[in-house]
Amino acid sequence: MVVGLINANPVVYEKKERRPRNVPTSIDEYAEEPIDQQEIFDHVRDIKDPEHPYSLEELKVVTEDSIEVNDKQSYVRVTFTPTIEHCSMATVIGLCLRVKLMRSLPSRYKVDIRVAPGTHATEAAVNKQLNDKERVAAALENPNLVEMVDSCLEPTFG
Amino acid sequence: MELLEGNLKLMEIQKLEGHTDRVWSLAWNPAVDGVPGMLASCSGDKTVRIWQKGPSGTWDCSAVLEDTHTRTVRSCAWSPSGKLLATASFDGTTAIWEYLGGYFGCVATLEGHDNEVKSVSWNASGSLLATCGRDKTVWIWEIQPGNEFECVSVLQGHTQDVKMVHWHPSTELLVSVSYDNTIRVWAEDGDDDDWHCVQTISEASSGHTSTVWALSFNSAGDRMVTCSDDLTLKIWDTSCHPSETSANCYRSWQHLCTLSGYHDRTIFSVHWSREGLIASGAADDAIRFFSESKDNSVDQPSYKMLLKKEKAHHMDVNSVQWNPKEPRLLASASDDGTIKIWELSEVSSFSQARDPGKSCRRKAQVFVRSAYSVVYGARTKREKKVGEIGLSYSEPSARSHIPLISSASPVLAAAFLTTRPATLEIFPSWPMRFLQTPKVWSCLFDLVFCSRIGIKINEPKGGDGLVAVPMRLQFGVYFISSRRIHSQQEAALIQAQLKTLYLILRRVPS
Repeated sequence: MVVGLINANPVVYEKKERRPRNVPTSIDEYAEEPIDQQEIFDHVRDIKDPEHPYSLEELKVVTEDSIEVNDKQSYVRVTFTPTIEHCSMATVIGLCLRVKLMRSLPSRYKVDIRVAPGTHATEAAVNKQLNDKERVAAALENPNLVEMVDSCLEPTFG
Repeated sequence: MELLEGNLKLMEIQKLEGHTDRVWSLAWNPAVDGVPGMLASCSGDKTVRIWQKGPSGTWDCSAVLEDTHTRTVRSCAWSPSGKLLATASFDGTTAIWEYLGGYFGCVATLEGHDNEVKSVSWNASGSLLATCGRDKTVWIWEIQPGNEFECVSVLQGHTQDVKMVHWHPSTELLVSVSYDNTIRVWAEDGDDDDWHCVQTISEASSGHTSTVWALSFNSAGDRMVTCSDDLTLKIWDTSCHPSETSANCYRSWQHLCTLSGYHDRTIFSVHWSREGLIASGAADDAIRFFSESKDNSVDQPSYKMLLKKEKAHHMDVNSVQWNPKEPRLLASASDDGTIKIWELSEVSSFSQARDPGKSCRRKAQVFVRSAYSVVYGARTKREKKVGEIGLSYSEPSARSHIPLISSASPVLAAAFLTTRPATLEIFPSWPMRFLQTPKVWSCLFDLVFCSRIGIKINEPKGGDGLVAVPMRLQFGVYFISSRRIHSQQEAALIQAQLKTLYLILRRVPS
């Protein structure tokens, strides 16, 4: 894409093995199955990094433990770790996470996306931008940005 | 404010559906002479919709303003005359629409902002328009004859995008709030005839600690409320202190109090009603109501929450707007794509009789609306429905009435009456010269009511004795006329006599 990558040599980790969903304890097929950490992680793990052919999972930008979910309160918080402190792609990654969850979760869900504390030079600014829905709405009307987000999300629709 | 002492209840009157994306903002038409009452809504679906109350009392979409804005329409505002509608869009333009007899036409497009326009506001006289946006600027436009708009000033000062602009209700002061967490006040300075920032309220001056999303003034203009991503509402004293010259009084607005611990997520909208009620809408899907607390007015004024409506919408509440004419009517807009019309009413004053042992006598009035059209033309049947009868509850000291019944809000009546085991006595105030007998009825709620409320109709003095006592308490009023009504004048005469129906609720000793 651009001349000179922001992080030319990211550390690539192994993908976690896919666990099968926990076997439901009740055999009632109409029983409510709450959305859990694993399900959220499955939604976002395959998102492609905006500048590398690796997934967010492979770059440890998101891990299962970085996801908090409370299905009763319809609340999710994803904390992601940019690969380097000055990563200008942090807002794009955050936008990808938000869009993916927006499209995957029921509309009752409230989603907060934030950078892990201490992992980004302009942490507060990135967090504020990612959680300002007016800015997110405006960004998602920008065709170039939408194209970028869509290409990052493509591997997640497997 | 007497009516606010009791418990309040927010009743959903109607849900307006039509937008295909989140609804961002709402504006009630001021409904001055010759302009019908309207609600404008704007949305991420790039359209503006106009909603009007139809003859049946329900709100219907009467126009869709589309194919002008190419991106989200973020904000809309009616001019004080109600004739022009301004809409601000992420496409960088502000469009001016005029009602051209039957449809709305776009009569002007204001270009200038670098990118997204986020808010638009008319000043009190309608001579100036302000816009603001992501380019951190505030623009002031002057309205020239022939729908020409000239930019008279571009105000710079905010360091981040400007979320909302709003004019003071009586003076030419403009307030802007921003993503940079500050509130700025702008005024025209005498010397060079240009606009300047005359006050900046930041965190250091008790201001907000995150994005300020919206502001609203009370009707007198001596108080302002702001709401923020920091989950608080702040009240500001915007009055002129006696020690100040009027040219200076906008330079030192004082922080009066902070309402915190109520909303759980970003507060997007706040609006102060003419009656002094503050409504706020937030990303926690709830609408809350606040008013000034009279209890401890010794030193600092304080505000208390009167009511919280959880799950007012399925998703974030983006806008709350009080109707300018009917002070208890509120509209809200949400990410769920719907608009809701709400009515705030008091529910408890009957059950809170001061002396519970005595009967509680209150007066309610029934107003006759549009009786003529139905009465006139009665030819064959003797029983005719006299238009739509609105039943309102009012206390002698109250300045306004709480509508209890209309075809748009039958639920109100149900809730109102089922909370009060009582005998309903009806006193028609008119002489029954035309043998009109009120039969109180409704179609929906008889089952609910019958078991709990007795009914007795008292014959007014001067009547001719024909009084029907219906078996069931039903609401709406029918009149039986013993003869045909031949002319418009006759019908008008009847209507004039059908002024007030007094209802007395007598508490049933428990």
